[in-house]
Amino acid sequence: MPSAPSTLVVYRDDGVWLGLNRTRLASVRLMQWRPDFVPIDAEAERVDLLADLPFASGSFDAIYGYHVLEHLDLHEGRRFLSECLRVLRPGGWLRVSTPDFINHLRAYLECLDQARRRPDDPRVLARLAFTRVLLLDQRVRRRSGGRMLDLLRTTEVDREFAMRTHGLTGPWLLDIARGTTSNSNRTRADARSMLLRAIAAIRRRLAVRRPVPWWQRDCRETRELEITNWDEVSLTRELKAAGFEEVTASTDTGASRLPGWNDLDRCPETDADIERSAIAEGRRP
Amino acid sequence: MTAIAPVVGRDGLRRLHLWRCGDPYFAERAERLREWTCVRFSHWPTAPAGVRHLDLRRPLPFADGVFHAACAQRVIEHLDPDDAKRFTRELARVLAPGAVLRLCFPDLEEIGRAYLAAYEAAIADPSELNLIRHEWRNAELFDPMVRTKSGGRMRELMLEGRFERGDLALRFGDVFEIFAGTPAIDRPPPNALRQWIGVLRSPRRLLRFLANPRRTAADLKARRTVDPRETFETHEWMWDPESAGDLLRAAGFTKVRRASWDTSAIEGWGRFDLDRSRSGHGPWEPATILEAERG
Repeated sequence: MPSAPSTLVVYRDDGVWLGLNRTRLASVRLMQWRPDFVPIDAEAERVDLLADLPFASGSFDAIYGYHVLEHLDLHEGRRFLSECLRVLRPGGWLRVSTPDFINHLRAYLECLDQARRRPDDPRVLARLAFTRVLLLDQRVRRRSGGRMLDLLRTTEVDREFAMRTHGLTGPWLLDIARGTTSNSNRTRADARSMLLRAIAAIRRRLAVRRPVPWWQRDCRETRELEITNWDEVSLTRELKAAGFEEVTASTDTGASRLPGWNDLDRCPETDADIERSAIAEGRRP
Repeated sequence: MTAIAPVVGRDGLRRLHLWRCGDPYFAERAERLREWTCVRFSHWPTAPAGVRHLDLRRPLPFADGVFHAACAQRVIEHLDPDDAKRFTRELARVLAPGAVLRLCFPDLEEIGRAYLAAYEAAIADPSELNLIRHEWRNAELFDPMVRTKSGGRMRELMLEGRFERGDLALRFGDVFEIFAGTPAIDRPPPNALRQWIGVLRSPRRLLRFLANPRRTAADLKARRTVDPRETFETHEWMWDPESAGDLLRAAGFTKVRRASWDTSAIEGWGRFDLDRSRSGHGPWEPATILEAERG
């Protein structure tokens, strides 16, 4: 892992990825972007990706934007990339990852073919419905969780298939939907974080203008939607256009040109993807 | 709700035509559509004469079983799945037993396969041409769902000049020509005060307002709206032949089958030939077409 304060990691959702990497990321500058200001992670430092990054030029050796780009529109994404370029020192590396929707698309088309061959197989039909929702729902939903949550609650999607579409995040999603685990990876329920959460809750209660709770707000406003959809081709194109050089992109989560970053997106014990991603890396000239 | 009397064709049959695209489609077919009951699903109240605006998320204002045929062009993808279910059930209600429904929609499967092909071509050879095609397939699949401005990323790509004429003519047919000719779809929204002064100054509009104040208010608001999600411009879902077929069967249709743009089981289709392009050699806008019979 690159040394302490010279690495910046920006993320939006603290899912399996952060849970598995929390201790290893202890020494980096970890910042969460939540436009809806959900106090999911009370301790996380916040950053607004729609504004300039609050750092001087050339402050970092490396930046990792974990699954944030798809929640920005193309122009906001371009701005984010050029801000990354600015706050990196010359020779510094940027790594960005987004969901690998090509994998979802392939899974959908395969399921469709299978469903035509075996139109009565309930397992195939469940998988097909799941992949359709996977491709569409997070672009069109209005309420948090959308049809994906409804589907996972009512239909049996097998864990094996969820591993294929999402990596380790898949089975975790199934568990959340069925209520067998909570949407939190905080394993340490220490006194300080509990106090911070309690204070945050009291402050929300006391606020004069009670804000609309996030689960009732439009998903476009809270940036739950994936408003851009990236693959290796578009990631490479935009990183190059932003001014990065030696740009590479792949869906191999276990490969990185940054020392110590090979296992950030891959679970070392099981050698499985933590979340299936399209990942691009580029260097500031 | 009062039922609307349907138009009777010269062969005595009643046909229903619903669509969501722009005026040129209708203008070019006005003569042929005179024998159809025409309904448009969009927020623009500037309908050509003889066309009704209906919110297709609500029940259709027609009596049970009055139509002998119906044609829904590019409508279901603008409804969310629940509304689409209600809508197809409504179509089954207003159609007579044995009547034919023709359903056209952009096909998730077809666009998905086209995207994958463009992606693989761009990986193998990242030439400018392949990159542009890849960008367009991405826009075709996702932009209508996620756009926050009228025209969305597609319009931006047109204005940036990032498009390949032949490729788009093949993908979008006549719609590409229309879109390329007038890419400035979103005008600045009108001012509410001016709108109401306009209503007060025109006796005809004032009368219409007095007859139905709510409707006028909704129309004016719709004209001020720029969010494409509120104007039914966005895709709220997408369908493939399998899911659309299931949708039709669940609504009570039988004998679901694929149809081509130039043939139909609708009686007298040869006389109307609504999907033919200006050039005459292909479809107006390539789409997947399903036809089914009301059981």
